[in-house]
Amino acid sequence: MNVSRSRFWSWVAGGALVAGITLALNVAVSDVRMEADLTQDQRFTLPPAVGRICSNLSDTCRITVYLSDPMPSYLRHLSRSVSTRLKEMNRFADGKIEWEFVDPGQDQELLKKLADLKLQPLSLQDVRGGEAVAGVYWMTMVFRHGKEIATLPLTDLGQDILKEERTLASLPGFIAARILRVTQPDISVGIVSDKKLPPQNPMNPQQQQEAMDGLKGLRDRLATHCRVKDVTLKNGVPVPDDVKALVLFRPENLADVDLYQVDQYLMRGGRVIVLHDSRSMLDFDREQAIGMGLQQGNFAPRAVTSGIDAWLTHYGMKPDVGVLLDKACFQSQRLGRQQVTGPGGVPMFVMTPVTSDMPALMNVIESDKDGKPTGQVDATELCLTGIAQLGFLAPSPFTVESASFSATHKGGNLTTLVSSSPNAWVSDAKDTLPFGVTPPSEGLARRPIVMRASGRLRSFFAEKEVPIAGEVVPDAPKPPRGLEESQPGNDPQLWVVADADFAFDVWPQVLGQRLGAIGGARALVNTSVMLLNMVDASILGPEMVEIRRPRLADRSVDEARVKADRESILFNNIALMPLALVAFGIVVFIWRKAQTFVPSHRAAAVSTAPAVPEGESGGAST
Amino acid sequence: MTCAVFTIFWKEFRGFVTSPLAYIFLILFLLWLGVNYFFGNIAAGGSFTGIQVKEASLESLFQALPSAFVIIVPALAMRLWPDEIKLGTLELLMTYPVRSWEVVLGKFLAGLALIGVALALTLVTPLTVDSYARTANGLDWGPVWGSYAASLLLGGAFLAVGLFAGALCREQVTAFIVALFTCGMLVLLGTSAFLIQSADWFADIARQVSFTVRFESMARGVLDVRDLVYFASFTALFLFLNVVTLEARKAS
Repeated sequence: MNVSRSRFWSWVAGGALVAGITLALNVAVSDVRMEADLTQDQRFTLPPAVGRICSNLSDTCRITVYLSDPMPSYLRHLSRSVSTRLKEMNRFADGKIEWEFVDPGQDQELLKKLADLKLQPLSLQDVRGGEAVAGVYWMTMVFRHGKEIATLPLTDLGQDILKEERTLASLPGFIAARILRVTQPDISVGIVSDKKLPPQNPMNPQQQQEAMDGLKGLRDRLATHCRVKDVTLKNGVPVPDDVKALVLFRPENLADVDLYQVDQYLMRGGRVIVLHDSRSMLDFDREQAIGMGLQQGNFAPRAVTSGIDAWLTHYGMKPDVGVLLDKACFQSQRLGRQQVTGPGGVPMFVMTPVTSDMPALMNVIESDKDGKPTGQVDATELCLTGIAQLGFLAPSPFTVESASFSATHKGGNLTTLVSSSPNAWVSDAKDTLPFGVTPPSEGLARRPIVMRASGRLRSFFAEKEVPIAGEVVPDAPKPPRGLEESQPGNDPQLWVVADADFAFDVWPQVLGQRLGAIGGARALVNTSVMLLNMVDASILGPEMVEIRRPRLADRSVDEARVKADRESILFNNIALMPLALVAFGIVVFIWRKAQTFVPSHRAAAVSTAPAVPEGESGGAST
Repeated sequence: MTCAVFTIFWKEFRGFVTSPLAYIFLILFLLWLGVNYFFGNIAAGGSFTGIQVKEASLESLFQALPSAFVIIVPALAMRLWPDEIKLGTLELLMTYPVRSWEVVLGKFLAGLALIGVALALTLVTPLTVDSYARTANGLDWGPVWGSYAASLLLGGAFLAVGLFAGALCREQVTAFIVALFTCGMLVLLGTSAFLIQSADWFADIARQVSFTVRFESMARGVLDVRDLVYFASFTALFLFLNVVTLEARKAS
């Protein structure tokens, strides 16, 4: 008995020791960051591109993290997440990232400085002691490099801010973008667009309206990592030299004198990205007309004369005046009128949801369901890799002028980056473009949608008179000729997209609800990402494109197929395995019965034998 | 694995396979996960009007798993010791030349194998979701495997708690309630609803101790050494405590 007791106490001591070791082990590894990211796109691992941006830092980048203390309970992880990621990034930066956490509290001087940076605290609700408490909280990062300052309101992370692991996944990209912004202050992107007054607010007709172009979203996304400048092309004012890329948003009636400046900018090795439309589907100043058209099952296109068609043709891309429609498209749901027979045989009309193809909203995919390339997307292009699906709203396609391009631009390259499916056709719809247009039996072909001319290019104005601003004065001295050709080693890039609607702020309000359920909205967002990638790939290199890439994979479910196979899916996933278990259990039961069956002539003999503990829970078999 | 461990494992596993109770719990487990996933979260008022799956992701399937395990695993574990104590076979078992840790390990592995079978039966769902993906990207299998690994480790930890509770209590129901309460608390501690209500210092501890936070971390597809060490050490601790309890019984 004593031996037994001493063994028991030795086990108890052992138990205490194991508990201590367990605790110590967990405390010891709590700071160890060793993990295997099993996700396909490595989305929880610090992207190598972020590491490269950090390792390129030449001077110290100072980051002040303004976080209130305490934060609301659901955001308590923020300080930990930010400091975890900054520590990791600092390893790449070789200690050139310095950061501090500051709670602005009631420091009036600091609050004034933050207000000067246009930073505001957020009013949030928290639950304390079971009661909702409203409070004002700071959660902003300010980046300083020399004289440059950039800000990162942590609310930019969106929903990701609420979960620690998601914050950890998205934060490095945001931080890296701001580091680029402050370390490369001379990189600017110019936007050329027409600013118009929005329609009067009927509730407040006296309200002063500000002219706008509907590109706030694009500007905000570019401003995270580079400067954005509004460039006005008027009376032949040259494109500023610090503009590294120039976005021409849906040019309309661009005068030759202004086009000449764009052309000269191109010849100086500039990057020009043209969003060209011969038919505009969306305009923020005619939202009402577009909405009414959509209600009636029509798009209401507006003819656009860009003034640059001949210029584009010179660079091998001849725009078409019609719109491109494609059998490979998204669908739309709308209420359709259906005739039914009412009481007493009276014909009645009821509104029922009708789903129909919308050939005007093209669905461009990189590979089909079997993983085979569709030939629609040049997947080797940096700005397109990782984008599985793109959407275009009635683009105006090009005809590729390869022969004339090669003859004119010795050493130039003309590349098609995105095309329609082989089942696309051009419609010359002018005023209305109905949904669900029936494809013609002939004239279906693959048409280019996104193209690029690069390498050594010859100016459109090389053999032409230099355009002059204002009235032509006879005998006036001719203006000096500009560059007739791009210079070696300073190769320009001209990117042209046959659609501009996707970049427009207005489409989510107008089309979002209609497209949300069918995946078209996501595709249009992806096209905006392609535009950002074009800008970044042409002026910054691959880093920002690589950082964006993991978030692009389309993993949506084919809802039409799910709907069609609904019963079989539910049976296979809910009922099949339980039924299989029941069947297996019955087989086991029958087998057990057969095993334990004892013939009657042996039963008498067995009954005299001593009882043996048996059963499913006994330890006899051991 | 020693011969004794395997013998006990096989006997217990056979016991599960021939027990109607195990079938009932497995069926309930599969129905709970399947209905929860395809019809939305029932507890949150999800409807039965149609399939709710829009993304090729199993996040919501595995979100429902800890709550299912809180009930299923203690229920499976509750019979492992109290039956032996009640029928008096524990004393008989102690007379055999097997060591306490071999018995505990054998029973644990049998329970774990059953949990493995239960999880394997849910594989039909990821295969279905993958086959209905719109693009060739399909389902990201990384988080799926991470979730399965997390589920097995979570099941193992719950089982260790269940076994320990069973060794302490003579009655199955008492063992079940003790295990249910312990596992339930360890899950509840990490839920955002609980963390929001807690004081900062307590929330920090709760986050470290809770299964939910560790489970969610692994289920996103990241195998973190801290989570693995936590689950492994927690399970080992409770198995060891189980051995201590057995030794105490022997000593008395």
